[in-house]
Amino acid sequence: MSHQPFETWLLSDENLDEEQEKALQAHLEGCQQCQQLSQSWTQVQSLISTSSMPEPAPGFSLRWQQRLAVGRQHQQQRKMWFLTLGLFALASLIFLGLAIVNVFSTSFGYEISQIFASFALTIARVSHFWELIQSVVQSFPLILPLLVFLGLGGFSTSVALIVTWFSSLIRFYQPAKEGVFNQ
Amino acid sequence: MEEQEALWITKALEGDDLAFGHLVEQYQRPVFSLCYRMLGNSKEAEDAAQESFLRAYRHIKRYDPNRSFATWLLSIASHYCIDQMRKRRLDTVSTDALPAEIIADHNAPNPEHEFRSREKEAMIQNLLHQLKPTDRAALVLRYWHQYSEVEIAESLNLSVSAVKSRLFRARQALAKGLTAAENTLTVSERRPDESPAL
Repeated sequence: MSHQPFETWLLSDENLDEEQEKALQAHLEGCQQCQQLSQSWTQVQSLISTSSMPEPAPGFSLRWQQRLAVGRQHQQQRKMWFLTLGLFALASLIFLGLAIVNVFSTSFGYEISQIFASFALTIARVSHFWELIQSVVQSFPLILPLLVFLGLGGFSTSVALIVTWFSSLIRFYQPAKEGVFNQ
Repeated sequence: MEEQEALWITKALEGDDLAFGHLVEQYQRPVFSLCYRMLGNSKEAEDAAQESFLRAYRHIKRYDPNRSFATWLLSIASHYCIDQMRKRRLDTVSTDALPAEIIADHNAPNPEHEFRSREKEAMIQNLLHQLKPTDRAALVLRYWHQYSEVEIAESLNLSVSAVKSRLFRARQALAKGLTAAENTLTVSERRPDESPAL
């Protein structure tokens, strides 16, 4: 047997119209299950309507004030804890930052900068030397006659001096001719 | 009274603790009652009601003065209780409170009446504890706080059709639960040596 829509009507808060009421009564007369449901729901409604509204123990408001005070205290403690933690984290960050800056600005940084400076200086010297060679090579045609003149002059002077020195040595060690001094 | 309440709400919105204290005094009973119906015992209900007021106090700035303060407050309490019930995942009547609540007080003027009253109370709580948390909240708001389906929908963040559906399911469960409880009682009342045929 179908119990719909009678079960819905039985458990509904809304008022039924005349036709629905008649149909429901007709169904209830032949349906023990719906009769049972109707009786039980009526009993439940009676239980609800006769049940008293439970009240809190006296002093609820005072206990709430105390709880609020404790809650505020906890909140304050939490705030302080977070503040302390935040300050500690900030101090740690600053310390770490300073340590990094210190490492890069003194020993390690200094070494790195020295290497870069030496490298730059070497490059500058090589470059300067190269430029010097280039300038010499470039000015070589201009000074060539002078160099040839100086070179040849120097060479011939050196040869003349060497020849003079050897000839004087030969004369000095040659024996003297007889009768010249005996005369 | 409504003007006085509106004044307290305005002052509470401005951060006046004393005004909020008046609101706690004003609404302690409905909030506690809701929590009791939801959680099933006085100790947990007290804790939940206190926590609900604390949450309301902390989030008072979110309250829209165009809405009912009671609805807003009971919405907070409902959600808190639903969360608590889901957390404990123990959808049965707490054993530490109910036995004491159904024991007759022999010093009462009418002990038998007192016993019947406590028995009814225990029966109600047993039936309510068979419901899912949100269904229970909808039913409690409907029958103990006389909320309309629209107000329940607002309080529990549900659609009106969802509220109707949940209320129907809750009523059905309560009616069937009561039938089952009566049947169990009838069987257990029979003497152990008595023939089932009798």
